Amino acid sequence: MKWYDIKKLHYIISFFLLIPFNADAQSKYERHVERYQSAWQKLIPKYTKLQFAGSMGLLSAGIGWDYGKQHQWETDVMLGFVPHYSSKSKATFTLKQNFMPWKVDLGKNLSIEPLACGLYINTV
Amino acid sequence: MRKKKIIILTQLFFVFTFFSCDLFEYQPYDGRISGETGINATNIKRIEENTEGKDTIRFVMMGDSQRWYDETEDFVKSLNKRNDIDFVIHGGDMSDFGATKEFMWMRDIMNSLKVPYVAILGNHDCLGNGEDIYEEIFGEENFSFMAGKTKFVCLNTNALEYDYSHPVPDFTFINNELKNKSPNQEKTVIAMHVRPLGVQFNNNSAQLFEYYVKQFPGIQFCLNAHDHNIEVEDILMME
Repeated sequence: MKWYDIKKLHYIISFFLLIPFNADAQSKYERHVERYQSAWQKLIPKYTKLQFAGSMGLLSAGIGWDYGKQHQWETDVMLGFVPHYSSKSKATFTLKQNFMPWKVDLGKNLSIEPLACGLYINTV
Repeated sequence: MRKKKIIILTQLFFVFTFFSCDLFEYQPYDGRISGETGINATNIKRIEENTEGKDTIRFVMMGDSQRWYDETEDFVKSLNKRNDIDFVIHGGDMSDFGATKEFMWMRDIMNSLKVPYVAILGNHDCLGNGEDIYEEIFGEENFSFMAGKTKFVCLNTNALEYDYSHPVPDFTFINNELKNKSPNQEKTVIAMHVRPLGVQFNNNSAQLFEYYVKQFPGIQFCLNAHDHNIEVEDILMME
């Protein structure tokens, strides 16, 4: 038996020892699938938004994600348009970050957020 | 479901009433112009009428009032106290970013001058869709007018803001001005925003520009803005 035969034998034995043999309810593979599926699901937008004016087009429509314990942070991606006034009509793209520190509930289906502040980048 | 419909309808109602309101800015470059347009044409008529037959004219050359609205108002106030000036040439850069409202704000301040004024296109005015706004509010980028016996030729020299599809300086226009001498014209003054040898100018054509300038009858001098200083300089190259 040459020396590389013994090395090969070692590799084969360790390989077989490392294959997990568990009797768990959910296999490692299933947990892995669940993890990446929930990561992708977090990317699904939470809401759609329609905006009038705001220096980002006559009308802009977009999608957004809200997060934070009281849902006080929002990120929006919006597409808008500016009609043809004294120059060509234009499309606009906006990336917006919002923060609403307070939320007042007025009944079951209505609430008011008195202050909304944020930053946005807009390009024509 | 009904409650939701009511809420949505009230929101839409507010949105559509706000459409006509001026407080909402659609976009800084939206091109929504309100107020007077065609300023240069209107004022050129006034200048030519006021200075007809005069053998001495006095005018003010200023420019680059971008974002200095208070200072421009002070300038207007102090000029309105004088009685000896015939007209004003604004050498360009009424806006800093080429945004629609900037042009309108500067136009409204300059409109309170007692005397007529003309405005030349500056390099900042070319930003965004500024050229379209300038064309609507003021007029053509190259124009000329008579004042007394002097012809004033006002040119767009902001070559860096354009590509080769658009001639800057427009030698066809300059040639036309040379050919179409006005009946009373004895002298010429050429005004522009950027001077030859400046970074914005098409310096490859600087010598040709000088050649054409020298052809004008009774050429006195050239005027320019852009440099944010007051200076008299001889920049002739072909001597």
